[in-house]
Amino acid sequence: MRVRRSIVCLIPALAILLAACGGAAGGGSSEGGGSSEPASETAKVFRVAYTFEPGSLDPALATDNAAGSVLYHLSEGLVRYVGGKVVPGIAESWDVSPDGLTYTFHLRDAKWQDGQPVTAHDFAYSFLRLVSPDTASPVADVAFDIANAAAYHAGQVSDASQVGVKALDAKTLEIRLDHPVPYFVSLLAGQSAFYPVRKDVVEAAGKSYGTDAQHFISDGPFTLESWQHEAKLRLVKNPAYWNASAVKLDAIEVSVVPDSNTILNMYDNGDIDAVLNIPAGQEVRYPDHGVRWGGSIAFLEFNLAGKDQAAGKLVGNLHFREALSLAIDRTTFVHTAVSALSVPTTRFAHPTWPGTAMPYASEYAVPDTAPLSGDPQKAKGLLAQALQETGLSADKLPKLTFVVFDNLPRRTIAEALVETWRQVLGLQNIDIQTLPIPQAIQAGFQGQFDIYYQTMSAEVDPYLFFRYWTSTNGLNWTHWKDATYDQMLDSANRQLDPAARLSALRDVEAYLLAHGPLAPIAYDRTTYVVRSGVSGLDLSTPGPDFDAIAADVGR
Amino acid sequence: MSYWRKAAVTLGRNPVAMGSLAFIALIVAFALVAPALSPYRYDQTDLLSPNQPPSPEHLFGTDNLGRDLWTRIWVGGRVSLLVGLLGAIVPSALGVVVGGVSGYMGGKVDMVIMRLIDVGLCIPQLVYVILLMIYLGSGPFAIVTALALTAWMGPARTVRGLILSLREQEFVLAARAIGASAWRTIFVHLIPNTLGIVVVGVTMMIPAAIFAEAYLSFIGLGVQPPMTSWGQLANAGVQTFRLYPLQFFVPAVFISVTVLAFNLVGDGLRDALDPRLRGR
Repeated sequence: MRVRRSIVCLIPALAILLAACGGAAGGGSSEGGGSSEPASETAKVFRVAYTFEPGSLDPALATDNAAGSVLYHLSEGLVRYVGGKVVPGIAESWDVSPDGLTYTFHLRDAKWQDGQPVTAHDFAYSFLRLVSPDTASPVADVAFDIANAAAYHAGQVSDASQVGVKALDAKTLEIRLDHPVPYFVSLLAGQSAFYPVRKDVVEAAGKSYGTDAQHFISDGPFTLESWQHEAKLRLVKNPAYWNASAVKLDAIEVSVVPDSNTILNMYDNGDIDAVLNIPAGQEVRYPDHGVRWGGSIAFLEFNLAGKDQAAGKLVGNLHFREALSLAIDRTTFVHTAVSALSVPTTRFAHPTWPGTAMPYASEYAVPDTAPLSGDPQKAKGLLAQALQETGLSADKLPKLTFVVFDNLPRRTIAEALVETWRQVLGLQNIDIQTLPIPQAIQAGFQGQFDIYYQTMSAEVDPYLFFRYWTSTNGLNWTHWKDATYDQMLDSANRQLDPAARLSALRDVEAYLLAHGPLAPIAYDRTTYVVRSGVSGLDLSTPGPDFDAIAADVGR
Repeated sequence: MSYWRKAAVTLGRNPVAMGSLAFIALIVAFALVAPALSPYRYDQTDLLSPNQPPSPEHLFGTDNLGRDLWTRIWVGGRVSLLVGLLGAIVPSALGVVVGGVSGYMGGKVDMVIMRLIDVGLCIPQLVYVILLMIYLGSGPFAIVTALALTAWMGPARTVRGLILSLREQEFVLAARAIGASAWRTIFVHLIPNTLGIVVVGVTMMIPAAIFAEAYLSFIGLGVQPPMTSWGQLANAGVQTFRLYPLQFFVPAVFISVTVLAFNLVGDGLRDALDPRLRGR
């Protein structure tokens, strides 16, 4: 009895050790054994894994990366991104009217996978369906630049023919915009919502369109052969694709594996050909890994109204916010606490935003940008100034709440920042509140925070990021309402000349940095690794995580 | 020699239990004293020297923000040990009271309480605890409250069984004959006679409470940053396990060995307090 009891007690003690070892080293072996390979030895199959499966392959309902990448290979829009450049897709060519408001696309002879032609009507149907209130698309706003699209979506316009999308004939599509959008063609290329869908297939499938292989039709380089839910999607080459000769692969297999360490093990065991997103820190195990922009901007959001009135008095003070921002040595902080791969910044100028000749960030400099390494002396001076202006004393400051997502990376970031502010500014009044992601977002909407660590998609153009901070934007949680900013942004976006527009947007950025409710932190980068022998795979295309259309697998 | 004195002597002759007890005393002493003696605060970051291996300055090295792991282990140990002790004592005390009343009263009261416990024990404890934690928020006292509200049922059942057999004995009859109230009978005559078994139960529950805290911290329901605990440290360490295994092994070993020590002490106590096993 005694001996047995002791052994029983030991088991939980060891289990915690064994569980960790298993998760890190041996977890993948069972997965590898279970996957069957129906393809013959000679078939060229590119295999990749996602931690989640696509939510929906209906272009109007697809929101996640997995769906975006799968749709990129299954569908062909008017234009597509190849190697970071917009190239013709189904549209052979297009004209833009001199006022920048009307786009006319001329379509080529292209076929759906069942041999029917792809027509301008398919595009018009898809775009109208996207903005129709009945579809309830979560991404309908990507099309709101089109004339009357937003009003139709909101139900203010009930006549669909008022929306600026029209098939002039089977081969000509006309799109009228509400206001000039210089990056409109890039938008068409980068968003999966703009793929065509076929009316008869969508109507036959009803709500199940895009939820399995039977209820989907392809006009792109690949077709969806099978979709075993929560297990694997198999894409095979589409012989009916207009540019089928450019496709070298026979198939793409997208496995769904929830654990990212298991995905690494699958790669180590040769069960997949590429890891699209190596968990942070583990890239050192793969000396030949590649690095790419992750597509998001990390920054601090301040709630100018404060969680309560006392906090608002402090956070609402511009000099106090500047002091917090300047106290951070971003070079050191970002590399240790955020990620060794992230790039620190004191601007909102994502390196992927295009300028006229070179990237926006280098072409349009903002004068007097704060130094990356911070300025502790100046920060202390600003804090003293802020205290004087608000009439608060340093030892009786109101409690501030710093809300972060309840996961370890964000916790670490918050701990490092709060400790930095304590060390540099002597602030002891900032409490970290970790919340599960939905509750944290709710806290943001309800203004139940003083400081918030935010990461947001960088989008494809500065305007798309800057518009979040206008006084009317629903995602602007900061209570920063500045009529000058609203007016500057609006008039910048109405400039027709690309250089004048970007220059005006740079002034908007400078204004946002000097007066706004934000403190920029970093641009993220991610790492990937591809098996040697895979050629032509592009992982830098805006939109999908990978572009395997021109890829080849030497095996 | 009294019962308790005899038990103490028996326990003193058990080298495994005494060794474990000494080890626990050592851990508690370090948790109380070590952070104050350390030149670093537990939340003091040094972003320029993260993930350092052990050295004379940092006995266990540093974590990903350059914080001294030695200091963090002892500060985290305070939380883990506090939750372990309170998380065992509070629910046991609650269980003794409920079980005592239920066993002594018998009849309908006993029936209702026992059926409630039967139903309560059907649902895994972690489900309650996680739901309660979401309601109570996080932190060591929320964990103890959540454990207290869920873990009392086991001890209650044990004590009720003991009282049922004890209350038929002559000394209880004598007490009632003199005119002792039910309350006095339960708390002065019956419960002290169950304490031996309850104390063993408490010692055996401490590891479970430490594990519960470690587990809750591991899934992100533990104490708020920058406060830490052994479970939090293990959770942080497991993220970079392949690169810096020490950051995981140190807290994991502390959890494992402390839990083992409490179990061995409990084992020794059971032998010492059980008259049938004594003297062998």
